Amino acid sequence: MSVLEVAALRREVGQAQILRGIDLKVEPGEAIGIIGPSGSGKSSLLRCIAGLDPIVSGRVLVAGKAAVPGDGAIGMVFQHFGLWPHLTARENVALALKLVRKLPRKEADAKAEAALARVGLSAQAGRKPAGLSGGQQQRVAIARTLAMEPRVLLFDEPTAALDPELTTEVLDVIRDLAAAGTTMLVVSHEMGFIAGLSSRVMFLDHGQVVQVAPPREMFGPDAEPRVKGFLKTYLDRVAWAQG
Amino acid sequence: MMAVFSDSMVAAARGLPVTLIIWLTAVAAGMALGFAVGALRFFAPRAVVWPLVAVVEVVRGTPFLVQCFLLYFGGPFIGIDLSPPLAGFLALSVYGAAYFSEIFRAGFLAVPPAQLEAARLLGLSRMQIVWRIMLPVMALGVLPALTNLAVILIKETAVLSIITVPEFTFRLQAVGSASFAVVETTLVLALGYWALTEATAFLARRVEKRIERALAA
Amino acid sequence: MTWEFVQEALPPMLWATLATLWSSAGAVLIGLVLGAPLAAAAMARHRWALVYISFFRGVPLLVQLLLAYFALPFLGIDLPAIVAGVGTMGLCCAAYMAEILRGGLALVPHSGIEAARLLGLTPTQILLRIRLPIAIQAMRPAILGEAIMIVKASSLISVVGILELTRSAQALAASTFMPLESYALCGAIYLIINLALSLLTRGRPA
Ligand SMILES: Nc1ncnc2c1ncn2[C@@H]1O[C@H](COP(=O)(O)OP(=O)(O)O)[C@@H](O)[C@H]1O
Ligand SMILES: [Mg+2]
Repeated sequence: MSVLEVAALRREVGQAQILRGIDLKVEPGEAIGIIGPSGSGKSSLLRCIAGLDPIVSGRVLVAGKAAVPGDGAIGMVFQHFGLWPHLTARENVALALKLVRKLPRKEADAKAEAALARVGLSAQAGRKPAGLSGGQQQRVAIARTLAMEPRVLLFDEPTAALDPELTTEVLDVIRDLAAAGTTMLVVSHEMGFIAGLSSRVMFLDHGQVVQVAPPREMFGPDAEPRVKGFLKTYLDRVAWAQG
Repeated sequence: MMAVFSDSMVAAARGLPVTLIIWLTAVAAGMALGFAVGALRFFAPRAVVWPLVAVVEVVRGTPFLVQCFLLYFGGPFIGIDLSPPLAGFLALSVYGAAYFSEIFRAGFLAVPPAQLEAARLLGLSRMQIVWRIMLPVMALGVLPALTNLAVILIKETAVLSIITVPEFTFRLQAVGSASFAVVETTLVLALGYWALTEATAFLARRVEKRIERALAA
Repeated sequence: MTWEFVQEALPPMLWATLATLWSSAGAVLIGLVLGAPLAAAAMARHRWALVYISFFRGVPLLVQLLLAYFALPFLGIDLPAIVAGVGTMGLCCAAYMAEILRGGLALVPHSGIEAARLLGLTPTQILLRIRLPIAIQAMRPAILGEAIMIVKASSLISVVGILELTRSAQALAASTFMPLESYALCGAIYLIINLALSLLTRGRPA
């Protein structure tokens, strides 16, 4: 059975059609890469799946049940981390374990330490976000989500706010999670990373799915013209930048 | 009841002008003095700045009521014997000036140093820099804080009733204790001040908008 | 100031200092406890909260105190002067705290709140554990500034007969015929309290 099922999902804000009927089935352990031009609806899709943005029609099922934000079924990692600045890394991870999972303090802290260890931040557990680099902050955010053991993890441009030299440490963590069988949807402009990570890649444009295909196909010569057009401007830019 | 009402109206008609005159003159005097102090803190030599800072801190660190008592009851012992309204005006002006000076100082600090250095290199005098560069550059930024303080000072005028300045609060309290209708007169007081501060704040926002537009054009 | 004056003045003034301190502390405490939900309600644009804030910020504290002290007994509510005094200051302080906290709450990043929602925290938990702590930390200087305002405003409860610093200085001025010295001493004590409070703002980095 699919762990995530999105069917005929539509989102409108006033007159604007932001998502025009999205269908997607995700099997356990899959990593779905999502690419597309800016404004195509990638963030909106993730936010609708998480239940943060309301939809006008369609449905989102997690393990066969409608997901409600906060029920723990779906975890999300944001571009701007969303860490709580008044709490240390450990407290950031442990808070929901205490308040939502009602774990006793000791257990919650132990679980938080384990999650931080998994993203390589054991040594920084006692620091507040302001004392961490951007890459470390994003890894804490990942640990915070991981600790709640969601069925599906969503990443919305997790490295877009980071300096280039800090992206690797975050991408490595996501890659490790995927290798360990975490089901995830990842929006990113790091094409090489998406190609290596994904079981399937989805290309969105104007709120619609243009193509869903394995990376080999999506990044190969037989992709849809619109996809090729997008990837071409993308690669041209990279080539130009590299002189 | 009717009598209390008409007495209140008479009292308000006598007291409100006193409140408004003391307030307006004290705001004007306090703002001028505050501006001078704020500018001096920037340009004057240390020996002048130090005592100025001390005075400002003392005024800001003590209750307005105690300042009024000190001036009104203590003043005569050192030859300062003022009528209640004059003492009230003076106390409110000095109190306001301390806070106004802090607003202007913050405004001066917010002027980008490069603009001042450019003016100095071009040979503008200190006064010219203050009037022609700093004041216009910071005017818009400090305007909301200035009007906010002006509204706060309206409320402080009520304290002057305690040193028997015949203003709004004093007059209505007198009616209240004479007629035993304290509830009614105190309510009139509360509503009167509420209307006054809200109206002033509203007007101030409109003036701010207009000035903003005029400066933007 | 003569030695005799200081000897006579100091004991009662120090006692009165305690009264000023604890009545101010009580008012600030009430202000923070009521100010937090008030700020949340004002942010949600609940009319009553906006009217409350406008009233308590728009009417002089002295008039509020007169209202509580004179008008409430007429309505059959008879409060001890100290309760009326500290309570009124607290209600007034709440309006200012609400404005401060409202500014602080607006600074809380949206993604932090969404993350909390997704992790399953309830709206109350999000307010108490995430939004308020962030707002209070960001607004600590303003909150301490408000505490200083309250210490000064507490001089007004002398009007309803509470023996705090200002009232005590009045008594001293009357018994010694030395108003200048009495009020100067009184002002100096306020100044020391407030300097100590403002040092708190500067100490301890966030
Ligand atoms: N709350 C909203 N109100 C109005 N328009 C929105 C809202 N959220 C997103 N949009 C619009 O929907 C489109 C898709 O946005 P988004 O999902 O953020 O795209 P992407 O993440 O692919 O860049 C954009 O044109 C954006 O302006
Ligand atoms: Mg986006």
